[in-house]
Amino acid sequence: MMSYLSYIKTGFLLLVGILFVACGSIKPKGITRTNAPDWIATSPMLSPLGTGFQKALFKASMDVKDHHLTGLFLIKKMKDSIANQEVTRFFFSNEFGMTYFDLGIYPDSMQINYCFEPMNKKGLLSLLETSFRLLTTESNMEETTQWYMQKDPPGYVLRNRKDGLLFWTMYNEQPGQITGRNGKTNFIDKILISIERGKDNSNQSIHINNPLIGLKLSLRKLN
Amino acid sequence: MIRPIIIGFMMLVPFVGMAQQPDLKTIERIKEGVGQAAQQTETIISDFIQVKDLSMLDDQLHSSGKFYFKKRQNLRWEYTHPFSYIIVLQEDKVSIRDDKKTNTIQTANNPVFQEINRIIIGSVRGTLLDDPDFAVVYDGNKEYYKISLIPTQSHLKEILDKIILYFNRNTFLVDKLQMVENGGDQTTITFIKKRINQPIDDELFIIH
Repeated sequence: MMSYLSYIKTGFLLLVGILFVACGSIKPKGITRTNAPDWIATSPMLSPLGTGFQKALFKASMDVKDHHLTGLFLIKKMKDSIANQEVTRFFFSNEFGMTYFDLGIYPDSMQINYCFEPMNKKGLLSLLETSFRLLTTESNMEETTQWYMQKDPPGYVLRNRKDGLLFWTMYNEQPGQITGRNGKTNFIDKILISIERGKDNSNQSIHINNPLIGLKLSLRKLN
Repeated sequence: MIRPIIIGFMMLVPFVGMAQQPDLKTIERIKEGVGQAAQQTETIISDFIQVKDLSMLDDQLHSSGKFYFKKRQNLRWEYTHPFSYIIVLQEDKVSIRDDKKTNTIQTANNPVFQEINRIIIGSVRGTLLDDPDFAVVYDGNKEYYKISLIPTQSHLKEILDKIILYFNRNTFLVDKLQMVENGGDQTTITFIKKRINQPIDDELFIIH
C-alpha cells in the first residue's frame, strides 16, 4: 500500500515538474516598460533571419532525447510558383548526404517535403514548425506600447502576438539587431532562440532550445 | 487466338527494352575483377568530392576531403571542406570527431551506423554485390561498369532508392558512388587522386 502511494506521489511530483518546465515563462527576465527605441524609424531587423535573407548554409547538431544528429543545414527562401507564396525551406542532412528532413514554412502552414521515418513524429515536427516560424516571422514594430528595456544583457525587447504565435524578440542596444527570440503557440512548445551575429550582421550561429523534451538545435554558419 | 499472343508480345516489349543487363559471362567477369581488386588492395588513399543535388530546392551542397582505407584497420573518412568532420569505421565501432568533440559508438548498439558501415565498406570491398539485401543491376559504358544496388529490405527501402557504384573498367575499383534517395535527391561522391597500396600509419585510424 505504501509503495502504491509513493508511486502516486512520485508521479504527481513528476507531473508538476513537467508542467512547471512546460509552462515556464517565455518572457525575458529583468525587463521594464520603455518607449520604442529611436532606430525603429530607420531600417530595423524584423525577423531573426534578417531582411533580404536569401539562403545560408550551416553546420548543424541536433539533440532530441538520447539521439544526437549532425550534418549540414540549409535555409533557403524561395518562391512557390504553384501556391504563389514565399516559402522558407529548412533542409537538414547528415555529412554523407542522407536527408533527415526538408520542411517548407509558409506564412500560415508547414509543408513536409521529406522526413526521415524515425523523425516523422507529430510532436517533434510541431516543435520544429514553431522554431522555424519564430525564425521567419516578422516583428510588428507598430505595437509601440509593447517595448521593454533589458538590463542584462543591455538591449530592447519587443512583445508581439501574430498568427497564434506569442513571441518576445530581443534586440541589442545599437544598432538594433535581433539577438534572440522566445516564443510559443501553446503551453508545451516553448522555444528559446539565441543568435550570435557577425560583423556583417549575418547569423553566425543560431541556438534553438525546447526545454520540455530537451530539443537542442545548434547551427553554425559555414562560409 | 492470335490476339492474346500479340498482347502478350506487346507486354514483353518494355521488359526487353529495359533489359540492359550484360550477359552472365560479363557479370561473372565484373564480379571476379572486383573480387580480385579487393583482394589485392591493401590500402587506398584518395581525395573525394561530394555533391548533394537537392532536386526540389534547386541547389547543391558541396563538400570534400580525404579518404583512407586499410584492409585490417578499415576506413577513415575525413571531411576538410567546408567543415571539419572525421569518421573512422571499424568492424565493431565507429569513432567520430566533429570539430573538437570525439565520440565512439559501438555499432552493435546503433543500427544506423551498422548500415552506414556495411554500405560504405561493402562498396569499397565490393561485397555489396553479393549482399542479399540488395538486388543488383549491371550496366556500363566505355569508362565504367555501372552497378546499381536496389534495397530489398523495407528498412533500407525507406531511406534509399538505390546506390550506384561506378567501377573503373581497368582497375575494378570504385571511381564514383551515388546514393539516390526516395525523395529524388542524390549524393555523388567522386574519388580522385587515388593511390593504391601506399603505406598508411595505423595511428590514422585512432582519433582522440
